[in-house]
Amino acid sequence: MIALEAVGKTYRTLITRREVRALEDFSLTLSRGEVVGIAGPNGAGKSTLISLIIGFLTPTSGTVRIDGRSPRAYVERTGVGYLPELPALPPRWTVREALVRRAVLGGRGAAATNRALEVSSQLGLDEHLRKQVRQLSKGNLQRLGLGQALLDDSDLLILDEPTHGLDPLWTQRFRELVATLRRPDRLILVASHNLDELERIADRVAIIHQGRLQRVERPGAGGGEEMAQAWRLVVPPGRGLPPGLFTGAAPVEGREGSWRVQGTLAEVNAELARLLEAGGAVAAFGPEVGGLESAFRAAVGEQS
Amino acid sequence: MMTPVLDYARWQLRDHVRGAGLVIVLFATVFALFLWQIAKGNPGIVDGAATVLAATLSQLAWPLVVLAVAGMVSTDRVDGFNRSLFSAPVTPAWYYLQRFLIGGVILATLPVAAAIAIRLSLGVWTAPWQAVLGVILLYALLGGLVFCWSTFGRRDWAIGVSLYLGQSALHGVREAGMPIPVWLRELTPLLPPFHLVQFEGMEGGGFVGTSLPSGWDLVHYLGYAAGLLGIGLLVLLVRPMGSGGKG
Repeated sequence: MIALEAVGKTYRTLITRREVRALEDFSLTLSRGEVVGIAGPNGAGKSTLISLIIGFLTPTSGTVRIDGRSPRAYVERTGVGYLPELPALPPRWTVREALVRRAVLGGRGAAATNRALEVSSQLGLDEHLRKQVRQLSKGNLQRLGLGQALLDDSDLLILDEPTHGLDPLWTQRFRELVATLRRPDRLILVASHNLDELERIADRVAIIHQGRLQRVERPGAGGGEEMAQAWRLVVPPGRGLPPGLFTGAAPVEGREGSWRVQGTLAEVNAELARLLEAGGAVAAFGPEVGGLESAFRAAVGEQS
Repeated sequence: MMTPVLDYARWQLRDHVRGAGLVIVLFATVFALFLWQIAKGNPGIVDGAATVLAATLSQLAWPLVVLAVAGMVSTDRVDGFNRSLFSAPVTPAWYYLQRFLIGGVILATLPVAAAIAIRLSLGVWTAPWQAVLGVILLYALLGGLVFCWSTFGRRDWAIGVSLYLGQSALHGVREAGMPIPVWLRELTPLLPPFHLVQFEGMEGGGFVGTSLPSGWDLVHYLGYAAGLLGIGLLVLLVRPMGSGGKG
């Protein structure tokens, strides 16, 4: 559905012509039916990438195509469901007005009001319909932005930091919502700092750092057996680790018998076998952090 | 797509009514009360109703035009409202052209509102139709100028006000036969020809009300207005609506 080929975007200041490279040589193909995450540290180029996909910006180099069309041509013909990172609406509009206006622009015509009220109920905004945008809390404004994104029932849904400002209850509801929004002819693109969230909802996650695509992970498929990652090993209290095993293991402060170990799946399995052969015991064993977080750390470095 | 934009016209009308429309209603109310008070002590004012209408429009029409168009594009772009608007299947150029035209319709009610205020306070009806044409022409040129600048960035109103007042002053100086530098004399014909629409037109020493351009002057005037609007629309067609990663 979306094809990005060697896309680059460089910002230039007006007077000094100083250049800032926001995106470089970025190539990726995204298909209908997928939920794709975009992860990266602050300033990595996530929002620039989204702006290029919607056609709010044009690339300095390379091409972006959506169903074979330029992004603007696609959006002006079909529309996209879009939640910006910072939803911005005229402060005096009411919640109801913001939803109905966007539904009208989305081509709902006479059914705009009904559609707006339907989405309002779905996102728990009914009690806020008469409030002005400026009176909304951050979380409610985020839900309003999400509501606007859902009005068109678009084949392309782009959500930039969708759970930003949401409380834990609505964060959980958002995950459930994404599950219901999945369908074979729809592509859902989610940019987020929250790796745990992406790991739960995305089929693939593109990790961006300093404007470049570092790697594409499949969270459901795990981090890959060949990839070294951190693990948590717990042995019964007072037993300790026999000498020569799990070299480099670090005790977890405040948790007796808990060790942080590093290695590929094959390496740690071999070590575990030696531990058991040596008469040791294992109380618990598992990934220290999610596979996506390990991949993210490996891609962008610990300093990020 | 055009259909959603056409459906959205009532919301754009509502925005203009809440802005310039509200100012027109307030003005008409205050104006009627003001004239009614004056007429109580000075019945002769009734004979000069047409002059009162013209004088009022010459003072009020241009600021209202600026008010109606200022920030029409730039506010949406700078404040980020464009992200919600133009993720919909909508062409920005059509959206803003429609918004501009609806603004013109609202502004055209200004002379009618003034005439109604005069009728209610002084009891005489002063036909405002020539003035309506004058306001429409002023909206096309001054509104077109502000609209055009609005597609580039903020301070569109400042450009509009500066050029309107500057051109009017230069034209006045030229008409008065006062000496002006050569470069300024050569610059004057290049500026928007605001002087061709006058609400307090005088001819042969007598008051003729609104004076409108005709012949080549009209072509010059409308061509200038269409050019400014056209540049603005062209910018909307070719310039992306975003200005940065999050902007």
